[in-house]
Amino acid sequence: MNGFDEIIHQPVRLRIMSALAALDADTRVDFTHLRNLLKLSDGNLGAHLLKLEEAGYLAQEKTFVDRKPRTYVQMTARGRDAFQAHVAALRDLIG
Amino acid sequence: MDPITQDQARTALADIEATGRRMRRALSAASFGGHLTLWGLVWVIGFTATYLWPTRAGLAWLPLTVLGVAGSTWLGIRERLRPRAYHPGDRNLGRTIGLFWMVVIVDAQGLAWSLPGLGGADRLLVLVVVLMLGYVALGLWTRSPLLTLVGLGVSLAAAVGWKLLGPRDYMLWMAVFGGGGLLLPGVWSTVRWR
Repeated sequence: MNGFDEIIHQPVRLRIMSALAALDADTRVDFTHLRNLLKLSDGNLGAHLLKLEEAGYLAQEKTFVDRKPRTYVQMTARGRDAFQAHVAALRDLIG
Repeated sequence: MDPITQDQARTALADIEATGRRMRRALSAASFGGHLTLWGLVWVIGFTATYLWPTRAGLAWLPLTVLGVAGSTWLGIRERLRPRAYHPGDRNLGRTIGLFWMVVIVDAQGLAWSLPGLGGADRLLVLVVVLMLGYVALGLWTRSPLLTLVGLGVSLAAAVGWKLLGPRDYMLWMAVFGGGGLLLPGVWSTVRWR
């Protein structure tokens, strides 16, 4: 199926990509904020982020704020293209 | 990959739309919820004090305003240091918004005190409407429907109260509908999207 992306279509990953795609390109989101928004556990979100990162759809930036580690997540241009193609394929399917 | 049915595609598209909307609202609430709550409290206390002790209201408004400005500055710095989301190109956004509010406040005060023949309630209406125009503009600028609605709602409430009530009761009206109009959306959005 042209445009459909098996990695993105998994329900949790689809929500992660939807949340990131709603922001301006290059915007980074805090891991904790994303976790709370999507109501996921640290482990569950981390595993899906890793899968998306391996596909080149997002990047994670680890930093320290007040000596505490913080992770920011950002959708890549490749991820945005893949997500848009996936959404277009879904729209085509329903006509 | 198993074929996707039309129903599954519809559900997925609805989920995409809902998640994107929640993300935008949550970030907007994270940025503005605290400020709305703070200024709502300032207005509730300030206008209630003005209603109860009209001649000594300045004694309440001065420290309240200082507290509000200091609190907003602290919230802005905290958001800058520990942002829930940031764009590398928007490093100066907080400062720009701070300057924007300075201009709005100076304009509001200037207009309220320079227009001739205005009584206390008239001045207050001008002040509130110009300040709320700032909320509407900021809401449109940052794509925050919450701020835009708050700006429009409080402006409307201020105009209705001004039309219906005498100058003293108008202060109580503004405590409830002006202060409450900032406070309730602020608390709601902070709790809902924290």
